[in-house]
Amino acid sequence: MDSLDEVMKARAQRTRVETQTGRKLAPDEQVGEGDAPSDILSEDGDPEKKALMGMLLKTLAPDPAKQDDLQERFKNNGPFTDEQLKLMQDARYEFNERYMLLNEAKTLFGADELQQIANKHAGYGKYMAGFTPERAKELTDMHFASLAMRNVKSLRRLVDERKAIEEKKKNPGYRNLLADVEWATKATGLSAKDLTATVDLSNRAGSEARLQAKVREQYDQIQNRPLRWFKKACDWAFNSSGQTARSAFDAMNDTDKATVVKEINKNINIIGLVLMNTIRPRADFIAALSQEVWGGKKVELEGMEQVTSATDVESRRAKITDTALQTRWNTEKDKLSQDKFKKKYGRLNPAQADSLRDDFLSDAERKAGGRGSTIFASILERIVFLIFGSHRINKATLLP
Amino acid sequence: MISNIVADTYEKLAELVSTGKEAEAHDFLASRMKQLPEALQADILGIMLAEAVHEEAREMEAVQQVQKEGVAAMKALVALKESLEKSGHGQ
Repeated sequence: MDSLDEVMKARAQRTRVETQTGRKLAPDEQVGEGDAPSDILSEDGDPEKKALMGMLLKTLAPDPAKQDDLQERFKNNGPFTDEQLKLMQDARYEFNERYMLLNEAKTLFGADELQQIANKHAGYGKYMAGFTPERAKELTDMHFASLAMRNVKSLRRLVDERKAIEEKKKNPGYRNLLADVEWATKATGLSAKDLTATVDLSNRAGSEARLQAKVREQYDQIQNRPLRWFKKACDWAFNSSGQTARSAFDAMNDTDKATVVKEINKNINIIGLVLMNTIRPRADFIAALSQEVWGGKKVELEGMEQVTSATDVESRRAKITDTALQTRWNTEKDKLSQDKFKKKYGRLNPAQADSLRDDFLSDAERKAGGRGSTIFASILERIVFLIFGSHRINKATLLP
Repeated sequence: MISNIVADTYEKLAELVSTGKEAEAHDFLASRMKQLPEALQADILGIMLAEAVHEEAREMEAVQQVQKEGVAAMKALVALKESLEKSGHGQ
């Protein structure tokens, strides 16, 4: 039986790992200690782990002076300060956690999987086109390694998202839905038997005018925003504010009845076509569908166009709380960063460049969920890092 | 010089992105991939991979949402149509 001390120690370790990785550990998940930093960084240490640990220590101790001091003490076998001892203790657990995640990512995204994703997503395929799947895998693993030690939450998000997709595809509910969609796509040739239990249109009352207005409203919806029409069509046929579509229909003259029947047939075909495309997808159709469901109007922020300084930006940003505004802010912020970079780059001494680099990296930090041009902001961030990287390497001599 | 290529890539890419030419920016960057340093190639591929996976997750959710609504609407409309047909108004 574990002593109270051991239990408390294990609990503290779990809390530390959860805090550091931003991930909730499963109740039965073991928290491995892994190798000590000093072992990994020793002459006999595994070269890959050594490089990864170097990256992690840079992440945990971004101050180059502290990194240099730590390296000196490693060379001399100490003595270490309390702060350094805590850093190494943290690094020990955290490295193991991140290293396991890295291996999970590597396994999840094999060369075949990368090729499949490239075949499915033209955007990614364009970048992968110049490489063999095996080479793309090597490069991707390099990125994963860097991400695991620099920005573990991003790697965790990627792994979780990929696993969620795979699990969703295996879900029985998902398979049942697909069966329903198959049925619906054949709706124009459906037999009455299939529909008997789906809806009861009796015992409802309505008026011709209201039904006609509904038909017109739905028709307008079809013209403008076809996908949003689904739910309204459903509401109309079933509820219609307490009215019954059938009773209203019975009250119509023959011309209006003919119009309604025509609309019903037309809309059945439209929905059938949309559903058919969701199970025999074309990339452009699915992208448009996704945009329809997730998209929104671009928020106008008049004040943001006139910002003139970083202080000005900060004061304006403080007022932005709404999610849509924040998204727009992220987009604008990228441009501001780029302009700032263009003006200053090339006229700086190393210390200024180092400071500006940090400023850029901080400024270009991606917000979770931000997309679109934020992809380029991430890429520009990496280029900035590469350009300014030499200054950091000169100062931080722990590992290349 | 690799550093020149990197700096030049930054400048051109930033220009395209800041003027809203995202499609051109993608074409430009993809065409530059082979000339860029390996570390940057790795990061760009990784960033685009994450984007592709994220898009797939969003698309899957969007498609499911549309399918659920579509099936429900279709059932309602087809049932209504059937009801009208029974009373001689269909087609």
